[in-house]
Formats: sequence, C-alpha cells, structure tokens
Amino acid sequence: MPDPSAEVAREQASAMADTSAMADHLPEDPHLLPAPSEWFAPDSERHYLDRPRFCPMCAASIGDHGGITTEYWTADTRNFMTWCGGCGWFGEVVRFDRVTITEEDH
Amino acid sequence: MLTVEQNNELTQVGPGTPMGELLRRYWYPIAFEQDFDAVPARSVRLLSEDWTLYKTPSGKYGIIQERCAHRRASMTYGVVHKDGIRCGYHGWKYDFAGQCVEQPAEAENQNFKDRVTMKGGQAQTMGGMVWVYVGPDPAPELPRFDVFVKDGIRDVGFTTIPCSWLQIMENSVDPHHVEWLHGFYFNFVGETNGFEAPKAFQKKHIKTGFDEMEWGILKRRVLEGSTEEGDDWKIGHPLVFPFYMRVGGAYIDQMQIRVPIDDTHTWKLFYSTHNPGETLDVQDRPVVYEYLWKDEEGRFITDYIEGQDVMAWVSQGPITDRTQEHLGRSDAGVAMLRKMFKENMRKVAEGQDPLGTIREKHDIINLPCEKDKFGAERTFAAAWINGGSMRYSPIKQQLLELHQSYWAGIEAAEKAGAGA
Repeated sequence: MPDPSAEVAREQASAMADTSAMADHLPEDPHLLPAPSEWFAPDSERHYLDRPRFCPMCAASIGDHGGITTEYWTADTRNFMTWCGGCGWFGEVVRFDRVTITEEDH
Repeated sequence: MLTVEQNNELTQVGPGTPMGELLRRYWYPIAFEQDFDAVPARSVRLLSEDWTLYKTPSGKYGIIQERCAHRRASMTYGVVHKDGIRCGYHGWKYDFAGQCVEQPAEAENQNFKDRVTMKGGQAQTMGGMVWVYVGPDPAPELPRFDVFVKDGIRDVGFTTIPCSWLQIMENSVDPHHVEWLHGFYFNFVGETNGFEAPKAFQKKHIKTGFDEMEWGILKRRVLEGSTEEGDDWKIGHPLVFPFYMRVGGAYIDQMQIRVPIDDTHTWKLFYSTHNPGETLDVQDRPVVYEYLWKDEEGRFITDYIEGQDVMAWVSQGPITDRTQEHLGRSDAGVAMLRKMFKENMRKVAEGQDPLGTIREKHDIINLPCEKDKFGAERTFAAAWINGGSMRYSPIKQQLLELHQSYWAGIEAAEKAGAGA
C-alpha cells in the first residue's frame, strides 16, 4: 500500500520545483519584456517574475480575473499594490529582504 | 512598474480594446458651438476613430463615421439635411442613427439600403461645447457638472497634445508634482528668466490622501503652514473618472478635460468659470482660445503652469513605457487610478455601467472643490490667471479686473470693520 505521506511530500516537492522554476526563468515569450540591452531591463524582468500571481484573499489568478498589480518601491522594500478581479480584494503584497521595525513615539 | 500587456491594455483606446470599450460609455466634448458658424460639418477624431460631426439647419447635431459605407468618401463634405446627412459623392443618405435611408442610383424595389448601417452616435450641446456619445445604446445622460452649467464668465483654453490621455490622468493623482514642477522648477525658470514665480505652488506637502468616491478619486493634501482644517484637506478636489479633473479656488472653478483622440493624442481643455460677484452678464458662448506650449525654436514653453505640465506629459513619450518606470510611495494615487480603470473595464465586460454613469435626469452635479486653494486665498486668482494657460485668454485683463475688484471690495469692508 502506498504511503500517503510520501505522496504528499512528492507533490510538495514537485510544487516547490515548479515555483523555483517560475522564479528563476523568464516567460516563454520574452518579447513582452524590454530588450536585455535596455538599462532598466533587469527591473522589468524582476517585476514580471516577482509580482503576485494569485490573490492573497481568494487565491484567484490576478491575470485571469482582470486584476492588476502596480509595483512601487520604498527603500529596499518592493510593494505590489494589487487588486483582485475575482473577489475585489485591494491591498498590498510586500516583498522585503529585512524586517525593519520603526519605533513609535513613546 | 507594469508589464507590457498591462501598459497596452491601459493605453489602447480603439474599438474592441478593453479600455476602448470602457471609454465608449461616456460623453465627450469634441467641438465648440462656434465651430459650426461657417461650416455645417467638421471632421473629428475620437477614440481612434474618424467621425463627421454635423449640424442641421434647425440646430440639431449628429455624428457619423467619416467614411461613407459606399465608396469611402468623406461625409464631412456631404449635404446636411434636417433628418440626417447625405454623402456628396453618390448621394447615399443616412439618418442620425447611421442607418442608410436613400441610395439614389440603386433600384428602389430592393432592400440594399436596409442592409447598410454606419457607425453613429448621439450629440448635444452643453456649456457652449458639442458633446458626443459613440457607445452602445441606451446612452447615459450627459452629466451636467457644475462648471459647465453654473453662472459666471466662462473661458476655455484648448490645444492638442501628442501623448496618451492616460499620462495626463495619472498627473491628476500625483499631488507632489505641484510642489516640484509648479513650485521648485517654476522658481528656477523664474530666476533664470528674471521673473518671480508664484509662491503658492512652492509649499511643501506634509500629507496627501486619496478617497474613492462616486465620481472618481477625491484628492487631499496638507501643505506646510496649513492643517487638516484647511480646504485642501477638508474638502480637496476630485479626479472625475475617467477623463476630467475638477479644480478651483478663489472663485475660479475649472474642469480640466482630456479627450482621448487616439492612443497618442489628447484634446486638452481648461474650462473655467469665474464668479466672484453676483451681477455678471451671462455669455451666450464661452470665450475660446488656443494656448501655446512650444516656442518658435520647438522648445517647450515652461514659464507657466500648464506649459510645465505639457512638457512633462509629452516628454514622457507618446505612450510612456511603464515597464521602465520606478514608482515610489508618493505614487500610490497613480497605482490606485490604474486599479480603478481595471475595475471598470471588468464592469463593462460584465455588462454593468461603469463608475460615473448617470441615467437619471438632473439639473446640476456639484463636485467637491476647495475654495481657499493652497492657503493663498485672495492672491490665488491673479497668480493662476497670470501664471497659467489663462494668460493666453483674450479676456485676461477683464478677468484680472473682475477678481481684483471683488477682493478690493472685501478688503475695504474688512478695513471698515476693523475701524468700527
């Protein structure tokens, strides 16, 4: 009898591999990105690869449901202002390298 | 930053595109009434399509696609009838809805004409301008925004700008540009050219806010020296979705209009109503004039407010490449506007009315707008008239005197009150 936990582990490993591939490789149609010779091409490439693809609230595809993500930067932090066309969720997904806490006045 | 597909979707206004379908749910001003004093028909371009706008002898306006369905000649050189327009080439006649009703060279006992319908729309006048609707039926009501229907001296500056209308709309939710482009940069231009730039635009932003509201996005700001009790925060002023911005102050009310001619051209109007007194003569038509934005050497004219804006919009490129932009926290309003466009494209795709559609009869739509702009109060009107596109108005001096007279009266009353 197959071990269910092993099956789940295999699926998770497969999913992680897919995610890893998604984050490291350009999409199949590179013409949608600026030419590599463009000065800001690396920023565009990271935006294309790193923007949220699914709604944090309902998990619908942002692209397939007519949503939009606009990226803006705050210091080292990358903010993705996101609207989900599936459930209407509107908020920010924030990507950062370091968690910084600013003390409130006290 | 956006992807290429997102940028394309937000900036393409032609038929069949998501943005084009959204924008076809609104009325647009596309000409002035006086444009038809000498000719009965004119060619106009709107939403990447060429149209013929015509006026019948009885004063009714119609709009129809420019190229005749028969052999593609221009309808602008056609014959205008009381119930439609006839192509000058072979006499095919179309009614206001675009239905072909006569084909003189064809046999009468056939239904050929019934099978030919040109794209048409609806047209009507308001505030001295001719407005058109070229979207699907039933057309919504023409929104009677306050600036177009309230009493006052009206003057309208216009020009055609070679860039996407969206660049101009994004400028309307970018409050910080005022402090820099119309403040710091204006001051630099003034120092370079030997004049004093208006101080009201140089104040530092302390806080900005954006609220979604029934007509678009209400923009608020607190400037250095002011508080949340000031008009700029307490009242604010709106971006009126999807192609206007309402501004004002010191008894000047203005609607800034950005008509999308096509993906890379915008008809940009500043429609102003001046009403600091109560006994103004009502004009039959507003004064209209073209404002300049390039000099004889082809350089942008940047010694006035709107000229500075045009420099920024046009220098971004015909359609700015948003895959190359780097937005910051102060651009949150821009991101919010893009979301609003996407949200309403979706509504249209689902068969719903988008934001700002009005289907009820109404007399006036009053929009929120600060009276004391930038805390400048009585100095604001003259600064705006002299430092903005109204400097090209043929009635500039009359407008300055109108406002100066009003504030002189206020000051005299204040002095009398202080001495009592």
